[in-house]
Amino acid sequence: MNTPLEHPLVGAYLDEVRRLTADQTDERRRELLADLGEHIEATLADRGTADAADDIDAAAIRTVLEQLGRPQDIAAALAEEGRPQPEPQSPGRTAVTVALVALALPLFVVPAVGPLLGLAAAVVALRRIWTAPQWTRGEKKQATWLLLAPLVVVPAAAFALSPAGLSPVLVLAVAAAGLALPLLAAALLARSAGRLRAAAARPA
Amino acid sequence: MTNPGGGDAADSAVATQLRKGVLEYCVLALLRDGPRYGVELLQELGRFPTLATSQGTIYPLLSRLRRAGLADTFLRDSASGPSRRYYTLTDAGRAALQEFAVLWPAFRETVDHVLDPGENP
Repeated sequence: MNTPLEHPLVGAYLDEVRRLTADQTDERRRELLADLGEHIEATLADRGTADAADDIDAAAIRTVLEQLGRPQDIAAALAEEGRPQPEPQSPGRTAVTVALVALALPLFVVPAVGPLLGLAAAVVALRRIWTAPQWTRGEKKQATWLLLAPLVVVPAAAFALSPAGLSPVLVLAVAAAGLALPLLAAALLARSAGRLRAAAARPA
Repeated sequence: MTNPGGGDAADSAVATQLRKGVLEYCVLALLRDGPRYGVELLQELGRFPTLATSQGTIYPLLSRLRRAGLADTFLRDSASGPSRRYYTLTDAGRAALQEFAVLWPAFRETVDHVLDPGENP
């Protein structure tokens, strides 16, 4: 029935941590206190000092608490680590951005208005990528390069291959290769956003 | 290593500042070979006095690693005492560790060189 957590020394220690972390969110405090509680119990159990609940050794408890450190330091660490993560955007918003990245190039083949539509999609996509806090600068750059690369790669490949004669198969192959780059950008953006959402949604 | 700063060098502001940048990667490195529970991880860390810090401050760090998706946790029953929360590396954590491992030697050499250009041309 008795656990080390019910020992007055432990109770006082955890109360002090609880008091000093009052400005943190409930979720993070609960998690920290659970971690510290488990640490105290596990350390005593690993040392074989908590077998008989009645004779929990006060000296052993003091040692564990000393090694855990001052509640002030732990509270300071929690405050320090608490700087906010980038907020993930909603799945819907992310999906629109990712879809625009994937569709910009295919839209070019729509008769007449195609190039205008494609260009607009690309511009809007880039704007949405660069204003979203959920992607790092590196990811934004990568997506931008992959999205714009077909503008160079497709004409260059067509030019390089043209002396050999542009068979329909070759044209399709070049177009497919060009299309693959923005699709890769879309996939990378979606994966990264998904990870961030999963990390944010994970319970304490 | 000698300790020219005296007995409390590990607690100095310089040591604290230095630790801040590298401790999380050392924690990731300790998880590289498999999951560990908190107490186990802290015992491993305790073997390196340079990295030593009061144990309780590691838990907020572990929590951040988990929220950032670099580490994941699961509970496993123990023969004695409470069930243990195990920490394990995610793919993103492995990638972050790899990135650090690549950057670190150049970083270390640069600092050595800046501190002592003659010794480290």
